[in-house]
Amino acid sequence: MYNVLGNVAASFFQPRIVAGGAAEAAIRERQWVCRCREGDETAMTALISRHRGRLVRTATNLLRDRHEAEDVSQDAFLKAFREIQKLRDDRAFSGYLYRICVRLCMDRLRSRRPEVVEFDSIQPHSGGAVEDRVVVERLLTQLPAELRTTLVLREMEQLSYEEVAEAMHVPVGTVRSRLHTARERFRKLWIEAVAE
Amino acid sequence: MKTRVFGCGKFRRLMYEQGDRELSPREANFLALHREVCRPCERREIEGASALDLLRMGALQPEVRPQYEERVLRKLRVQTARDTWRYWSPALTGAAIAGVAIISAMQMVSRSTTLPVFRPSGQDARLLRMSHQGLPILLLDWDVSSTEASSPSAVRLDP
Repeated sequence: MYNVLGNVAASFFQPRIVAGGAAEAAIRERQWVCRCREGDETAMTALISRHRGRLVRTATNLLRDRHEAEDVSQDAFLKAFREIQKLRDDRAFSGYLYRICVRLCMDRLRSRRPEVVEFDSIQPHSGGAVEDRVVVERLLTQLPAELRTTLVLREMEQLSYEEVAEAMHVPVGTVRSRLHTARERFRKLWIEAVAE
Repeated sequence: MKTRVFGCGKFRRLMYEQGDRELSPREANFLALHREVCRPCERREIEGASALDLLRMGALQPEVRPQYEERVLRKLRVQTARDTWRYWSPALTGAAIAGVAIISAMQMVSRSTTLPVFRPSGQDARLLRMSHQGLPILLLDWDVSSTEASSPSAVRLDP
């Protein structure tokens, strides 16, 4: 009886605790952003620790190069800290930082030369994780930067349409149409790769 | 009479959107009916799902290298120092140019009081005297190396 009541109580309070934790984290982040404006390096370190994992992961999936991704994520932090005076709302720091990172990644992708991909040497159906990653990497290189970014943010980073739109600074309708085009192209490329 | 029962274009759109949102019963029904009738679309749906599964499996989960924060802060300090220099360098360069100009001007003013004395000697002095007989002759001290060269009177009249 007590166990049942305990479980009910736990299930009732759990969301509140989580929500409270998130709210507390948000308040702490606002304080860090305020202190960053004054050049406090401790606050900067805290913000970097909080956001670095997500930034590096997104940049790696977009660029498919760990070293370049780390460089880009560091550049995103630098740009965000140097232009933090432009940020009007301290609560928006996370989105602001993420947007900078995505934009820097897109700039890098645009500056890359398109590659001619040969699928003779790889076997897409071998099933291994490494082989899958190689195939995905080669297929993604054949997509334009906008389509590739939209696809990666939605499918790999699991962002909603609204979040993708905010990160790429485009309307939601544009995200929807780009996503459809990107998925279709990716499917065709994959079919071609399998057929070869 | 031509009746349009289903559309492959709509199916293609909905086959991807079913992963993004919950389809309405009507849309879900449409997908099911179309799948049963149109084999190419059914195959397309399977291919699309497989391709997207592959894409999701290809996601990377990189580890952040140690001392990431320190490296960012170091870069930030370097950039801040560089920005400070870039901000002040035009003013500093202007000040340096102005300083050099002022020193040069002061040097020129101080040297103008010690002009070399022109004094023709021997033949030149006689020729000058002959050509200006009856008039006071301008006798100039030409010998710059002599001690008189440092004399402030550059020109003097000889009756």
